[in-house]
Amino acid sequence: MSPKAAPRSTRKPPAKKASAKKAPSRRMTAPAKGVKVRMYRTGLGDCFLLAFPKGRSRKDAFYLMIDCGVYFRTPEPGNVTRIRQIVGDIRDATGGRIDVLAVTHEHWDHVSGFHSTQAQEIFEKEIELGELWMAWTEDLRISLARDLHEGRVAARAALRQALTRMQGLGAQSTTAELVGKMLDFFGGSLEGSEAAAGLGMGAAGGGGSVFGAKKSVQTEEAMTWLRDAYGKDRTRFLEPGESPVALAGVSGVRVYVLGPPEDPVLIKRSDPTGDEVFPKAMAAAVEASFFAACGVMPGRPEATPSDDDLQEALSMSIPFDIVYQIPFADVQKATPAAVEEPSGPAADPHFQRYFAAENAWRRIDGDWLEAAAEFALQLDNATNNTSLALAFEVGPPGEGKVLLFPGDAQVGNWRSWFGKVKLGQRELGKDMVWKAGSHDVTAEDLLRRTVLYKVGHHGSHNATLRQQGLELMGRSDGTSELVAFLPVDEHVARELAHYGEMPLRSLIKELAIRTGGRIVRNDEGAQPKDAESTLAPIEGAPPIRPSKSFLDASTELYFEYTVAPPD
Amino acid sequence: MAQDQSKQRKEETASSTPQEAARPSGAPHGPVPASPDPPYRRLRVYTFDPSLATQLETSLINQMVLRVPWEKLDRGPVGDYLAVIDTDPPSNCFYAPVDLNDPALLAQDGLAPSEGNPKFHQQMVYAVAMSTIQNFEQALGRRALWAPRFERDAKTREVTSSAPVHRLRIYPHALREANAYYSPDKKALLFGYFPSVLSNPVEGLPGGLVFTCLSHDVVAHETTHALLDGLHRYFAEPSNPDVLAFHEAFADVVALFQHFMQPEALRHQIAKTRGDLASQNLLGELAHQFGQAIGSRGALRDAIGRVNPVTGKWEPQVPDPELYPITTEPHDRGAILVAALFDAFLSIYRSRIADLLRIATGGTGVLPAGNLHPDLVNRLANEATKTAGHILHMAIRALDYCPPVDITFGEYLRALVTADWDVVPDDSLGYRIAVIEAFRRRGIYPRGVRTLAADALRWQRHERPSFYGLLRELLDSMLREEDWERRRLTLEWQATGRREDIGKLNEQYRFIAWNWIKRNLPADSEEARSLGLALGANAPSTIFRSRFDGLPTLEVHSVRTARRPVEGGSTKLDLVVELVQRRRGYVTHERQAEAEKEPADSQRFWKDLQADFKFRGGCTLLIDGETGDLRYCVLKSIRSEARLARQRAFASGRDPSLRATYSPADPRAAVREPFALLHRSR
Repeated sequence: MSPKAAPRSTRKPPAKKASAKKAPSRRMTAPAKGVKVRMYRTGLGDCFLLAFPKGRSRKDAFYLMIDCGVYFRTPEPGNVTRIRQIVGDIRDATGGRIDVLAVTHEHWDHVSGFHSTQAQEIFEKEIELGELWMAWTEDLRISLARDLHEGRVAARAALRQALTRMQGLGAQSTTAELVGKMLDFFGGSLEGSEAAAGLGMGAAGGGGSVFGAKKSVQTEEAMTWLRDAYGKDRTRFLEPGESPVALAGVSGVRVYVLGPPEDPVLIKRSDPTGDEVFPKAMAAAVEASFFAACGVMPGRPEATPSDDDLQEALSMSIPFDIVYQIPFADVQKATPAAVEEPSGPAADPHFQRYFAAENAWRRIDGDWLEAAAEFALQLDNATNNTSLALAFEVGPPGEGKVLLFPGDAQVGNWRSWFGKVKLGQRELGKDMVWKAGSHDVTAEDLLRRTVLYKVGHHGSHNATLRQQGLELMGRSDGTSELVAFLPVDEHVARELAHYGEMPLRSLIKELAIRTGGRIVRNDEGAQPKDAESTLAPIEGAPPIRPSKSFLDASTELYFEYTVAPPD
Repeated sequence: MAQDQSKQRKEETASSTPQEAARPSGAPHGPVPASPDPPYRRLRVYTFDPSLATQLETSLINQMVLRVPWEKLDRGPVGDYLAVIDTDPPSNCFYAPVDLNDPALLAQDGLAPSEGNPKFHQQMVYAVAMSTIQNFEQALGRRALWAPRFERDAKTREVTSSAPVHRLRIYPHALREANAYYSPDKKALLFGYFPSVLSNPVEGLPGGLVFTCLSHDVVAHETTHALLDGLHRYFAEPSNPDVLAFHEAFADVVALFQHFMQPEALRHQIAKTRGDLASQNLLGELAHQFGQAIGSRGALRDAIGRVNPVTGKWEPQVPDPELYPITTEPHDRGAILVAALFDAFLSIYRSRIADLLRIATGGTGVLPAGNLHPDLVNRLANEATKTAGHILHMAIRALDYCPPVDITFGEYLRALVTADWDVVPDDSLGYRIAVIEAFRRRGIYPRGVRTLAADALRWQRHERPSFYGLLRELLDSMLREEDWERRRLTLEWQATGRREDIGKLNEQYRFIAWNWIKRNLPADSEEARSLGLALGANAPSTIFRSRFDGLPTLEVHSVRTARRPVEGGSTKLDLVVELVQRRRGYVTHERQAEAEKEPADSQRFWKDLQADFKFRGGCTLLIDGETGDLRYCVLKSIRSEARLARQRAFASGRDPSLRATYSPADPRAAVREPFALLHRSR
């Protein structure tokens, strides 16, 4: 990930790869006007293909792909097999060329398809890429982006260590479960190699510490491949508020970049309106102190810490001078030999109070690790909040219909689209107004004109805003054109990912009301397992309509829908 | 509470003076008798927290000496109440325990305050926790006990056995985060340390370590959580929005009023504010350093005002009755109760010093500009200490007048009024009126009282004459029995004797009371009903039934004694008996109705009709220890459908927190450590 390797926005893809032209019958055509949208049914994970008309021929389409991934623990054949099948179909549908690939954020359920264990090879060998779009947060030449990135790397390493320790303590803990789930969203672990990479800072406590935390995980590998190989010299990093982006050769379409916000506070927060005190308490220094206890020192990629640096970080993280420390192991070893040495700490009855079997229930070896849950949630929020949020407008500038693809943007990201966010007496982010034709376009305009909403974060509770979100879209009598595309598999979400409320029932209800029951879900046809399931009818909301009744195509592999520009 | 109060202490009727008094005085001949143990152990501590040392103005009052009751101490310190064990799991080490019996330490009031020496940290948590315990014991006139340990079935979470817990564990360096808590599961206080994030670099070193165990307020707050849990275990169950808020508020009240027992700091602040304690001062703030270190502009909490985030200036708080109904976060809601009690304190203090001010100003009562005369400062400080002591004792004593479950702020107000009435029947200084007024200004009203006059708020005497003789028999049956060493039981068991025996004796008294009720209180009687209980076979089906006789279960939750001064300087003992039943509650009315229709032994209660929450009810009885009269009966009826409906609304109305989305299986997860200084998940 050398920063030099990714210059900003170069055009001209080198056409060295002979794209495989196969099965023309499976080509996805573009509509005469407007856009055709495919949601590939990966399950719990995003994969979209958009076809815009380009030039004269209907075959000559502009293909824009958004994300390609599936949740880490999805069972086969719904996992790798499925992704390969889908990417194969994309190759055929596009004739082996994608004009733009937009990758929203670094989570496995959005990028697994680009990993070497999934469909990377198909992309590499059989699909030519025009341009790669990523959020500015992936541009590691920008210092804030680099900080966020390094912060995520360190957080993952620390959480992995915390998790290992929790498992080592053998306690059944909801925290351990939660941390494990969060790490799954980075494509599971490379536990073996990560542990082996530990530099063994024994004094930091616990075996296998990872000072420096340089090991990547699978999501990062996928992102690195995209940025440094597949999208090399043709990556465009998008910034919120920049002038609407045109698609080469396509008329009457423009893309508004809404997020991620250029403010670290907004990115780190799942809810910027909440209490001010706690997130501050979790500020960098506190984080660093916790991470140090996990043997992780957040570092810059260009600066490999020396032993002296590590030693200094270590001594700064411990609360007292080293002479006060009595290593845990020395006390715990209540071996006869140790007891014979009357002056040794292991023989001290004071310490043995702590280790006595009848007092085992009062030990606190793992309590400090409970804070890891907070860091894990923060990591998850911060990653979702780096989502590239895009709005596509088809039709006349400032008056067209809008397709909203927010990635998995959570509250901090979403709120920033509407301008500065007030937090206490501070204002975060910036005001954004786009010039489109003679119109001044705001986020509110775009949401009001939205006719297709890709539901954020698979329908979780904190990735679709209410007042500054869904309530601007569609109409409460369901008579508008709005449709919702919801890439979710409820059974996987609830049973394997243990997301209790994904999708959130009250959100589905509101979506059903505002779309008049036109919600397209990847798990359409699945049976509800209980009354809590959102697959079951919801009282007070119109029934979900079968997708066949309003889509162009509804197959086992994908859903297809056309948005025509306004008359 | 260790300061120059010996004169005042003599006035206190309830005290827990150690049992050293009975030693034989020196015989004329024979060996020289050993010197008696001293009454106190003097230990140096930070007055509030280390932050005062950084400013010249406050550096003089940065430390003080606490006098805690003398007890035999092991290294740790480990005594009769507390065991300080200094393990630091994040740093993977232990710290050597302090030996407070070391002559070098005895001779100089313990170690000098130091952030860099873990042994001083151990000394300070011990000293502050002990003085908090001492305040409780003085107010209640009996030994403080910790909540027993419950072993639960891993699957059903039902309690399978319980055992008394002798010592509260204190871990001064348990966490690496900006937090501290009392863990009800481990009966332990866990304190964290963290690098500070200062918003105001004048106050200290940015990135410097902050130790929560060196904050008087944090230690007193968490110790109070543990003491309250020992007394009212069900106050940890959030059955209405006030319950956890009450826990927080009460812990803050104790920490706050203990400030006024620190004489140097008090005099300093009175001189600085010229006697006006309603202006910004250190005494009304809680956890100053902690608040600064996590980046807020003032202390963590402030009972009298706060820094306006827009202007950056401190502003006094204006009571707002609109806040109480809409504030739900326990610390914030609790702050309303704290502010009310502090407000009452200020009014009483003002009325108590009015004459002093007049004397000092030749009758005008208007102080001239400039410094106050040191004598006046001393006298004002005295009044402040006295007032704070009274309010603190009143607040603690009221705990014996609370219902056993489901406490609300309004009920606590009634408990305060009643408890105070029992001690000071003639309210000439207007304490009760000040308290009622302060609550009223914040919109806190008890349910079901006709007026806010003190006599209307006082718990009503139980009106059934049949009870008078009835409970006399309960007392008699207790005093007929013997303990395991064949000693006659008395009503003094909680104030004398070895502390570790009290837990065992409590079990015996509870058992006697349970047996007596089972035998003598007819299950379907009016008497049982008037105690808020449902004991007969025709009780609602959702009330838990006994496996043995199929009748509703009854828990004698607690039997304890409350000491009450009476005319002529002597004291009387009341017996406090708490009776609790539990009932299945459901988040929808339909399911509740369905469950009520089932027979009481229906298997569906274990299958498709498992309860969504536990609804508890019962009563607290205050019984005159001499006559057996039922003085008060504080009701929380298990039959109350209205209260059940309120709890249902509360249980179903809580928003899924962020964390609940990711781990929905266990709703307890979000409140696993319900008494954290800051809640980890919001």
